[in-house]
Amino acid sequence: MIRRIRGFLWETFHTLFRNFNFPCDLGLFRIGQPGPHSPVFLSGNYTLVVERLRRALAGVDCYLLVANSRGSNVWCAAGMNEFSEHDVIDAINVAGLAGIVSHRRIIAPPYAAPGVNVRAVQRETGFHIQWGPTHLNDLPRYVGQNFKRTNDMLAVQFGFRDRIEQALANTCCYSMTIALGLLFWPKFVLAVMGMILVAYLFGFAFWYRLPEERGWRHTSTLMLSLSAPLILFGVSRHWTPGAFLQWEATLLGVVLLVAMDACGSTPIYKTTIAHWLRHGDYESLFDPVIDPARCTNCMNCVLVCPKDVFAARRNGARKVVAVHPRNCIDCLACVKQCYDDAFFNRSGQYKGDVKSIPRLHEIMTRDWSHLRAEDKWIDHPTTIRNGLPVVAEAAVEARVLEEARL
Amino acid sequence: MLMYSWMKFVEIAPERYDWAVSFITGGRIDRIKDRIADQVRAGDRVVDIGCGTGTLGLRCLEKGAYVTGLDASEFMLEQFRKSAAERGLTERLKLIQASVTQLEKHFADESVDVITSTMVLGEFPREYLDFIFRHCHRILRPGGRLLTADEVWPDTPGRRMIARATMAAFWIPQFLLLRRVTYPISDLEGLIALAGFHIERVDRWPGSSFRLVYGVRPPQFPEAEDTAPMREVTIR
Repeated sequence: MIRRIRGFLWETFHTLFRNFNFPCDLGLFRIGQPGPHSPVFLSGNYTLVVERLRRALAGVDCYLLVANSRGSNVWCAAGMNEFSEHDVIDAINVAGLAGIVSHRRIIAPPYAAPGVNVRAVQRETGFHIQWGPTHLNDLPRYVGQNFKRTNDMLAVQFGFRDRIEQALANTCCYSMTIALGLLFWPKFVLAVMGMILVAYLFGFAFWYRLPEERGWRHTSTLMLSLSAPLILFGVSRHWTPGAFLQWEATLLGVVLLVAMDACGSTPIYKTTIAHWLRHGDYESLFDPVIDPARCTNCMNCVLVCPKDVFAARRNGARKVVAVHPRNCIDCLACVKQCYDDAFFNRSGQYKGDVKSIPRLHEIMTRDWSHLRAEDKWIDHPTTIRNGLPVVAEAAVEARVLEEARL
Repeated sequence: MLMYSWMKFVEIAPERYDWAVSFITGGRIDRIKDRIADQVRAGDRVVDIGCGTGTLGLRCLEKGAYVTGLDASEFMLEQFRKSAAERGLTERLKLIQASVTQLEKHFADESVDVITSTMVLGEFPREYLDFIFRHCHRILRPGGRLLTADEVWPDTPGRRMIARATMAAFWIPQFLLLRRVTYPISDLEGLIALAGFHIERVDRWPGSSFRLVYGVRPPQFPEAEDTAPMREVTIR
């Protein structure tokens, strides 16, 4: 009982403060009774995730290799150049992994892809990095399917539980920021904290119910939905017009904060504040296009893209093309994992928060005019073959698609 | 939005890094680097582990040493290359982008005169440090020196408590400026000795948890003076 309460408190603390770095121990951990043939899973040293990983992997005899991500989650750390091939190489070397397991395979989270040069890891240590499922709750299924990942395990999700956790964590973060004000204006600051909590909880709980952000529609809906109860409350309290104005302005401030919060590489916000202010949407700035003359069909980009942007051509030319560039969330995993330098950017713009790619500016802004013919692949129908997205080109595949639709 | 600006502010900016480190250590780091560079003679083969922007490497180059800078960050190395070029010191400089555990891949056994590292090892746990120091021992020539400057946990419980309180107070500014939380190393000398080094000297600074440890790889045929007790120097 005490252990359960303790566990709950631990989980609550780490969830509320999940925006901060809490590094845990590095090294090779045994789960169950692993032997020389047991699989090795890679993780960063973000305490909350490592703990959840251990729980997700309970019952699987395996090794968990915790490498140094400076206490951040792997996705942020990889983009910030704080979880790179060097950290993975260090972890492999120090653990003496080559002497512990007989195989040379490490299963890594695809979120590490924006930062880890897997070729360098292979060259320096002999270990091959295989991308596992994106979300750790898919791990048991992944193991059950004999370490075969299907395309659905790759998509980034932002499920209800994750959204609520994020709402609480962000509220906690902002409340701490304004906590000093409690000394001077206790009532007002408390009310603002409450508003932030309500705005986040409401906004995130109904994220997929509210309209998509185009021309500030999502934000305005949120503002109107929260204004209604505020006005009702004010009427019941016989507020003066001045008080109404004050509280509405405060609410507007809170809603704007939520709307502009963490514009970045997240599953839902993908852009910069400047772009949002000008266009009122969260569209990604990066608009990938692959040069077929450079693409060697290595499939790395397909294997790491969490938004199904790419599909492979299997009829005629064996190349990868960008079919859903509008889905892109600017994580740049594809660019990092492209060892043929085949990526170009239609928009010429990028967010610049990814620090792990040398010569990123050049790649993002170079001339792509010779690739206009590639526009024909945008929104081209695709099908799944061997668990991976493939461009539906031949008549046969068109029929397959037709049947699937029926 | 606040978090976004935070992220923007704290993201790694090599051009601000030197200033931030100097600021956080109260300028002490520069004096330590001067002292380390004083140990280097012309013609020495120096390896700077985690060379960063090269503030120490440049000092060694100016002494006439052959410097190899090792760092995982391309951005930091780029900065180093630039400042070395500005001073016309690139001739004796070699830069390697590699992890700290890859030493033996890049250096032959007994091929180095001096290994330095300042404020780098704090982010690694004990097993990593043990691994790194053992490899340092291997690549240093007998009689070669390992000069390590880092924050350490004080030896006495009272001081440790003070250190803990200071760390807590500086946690947020340090995180904001460096985006990196470094931890004091416990028993730095012990770890270095464990790797086979003879601790020649330890420099301490009053009221500070900084330490500069001089480790020497003993000559192949140890002489009597090697067994002399460790000398401790407190500098004011």
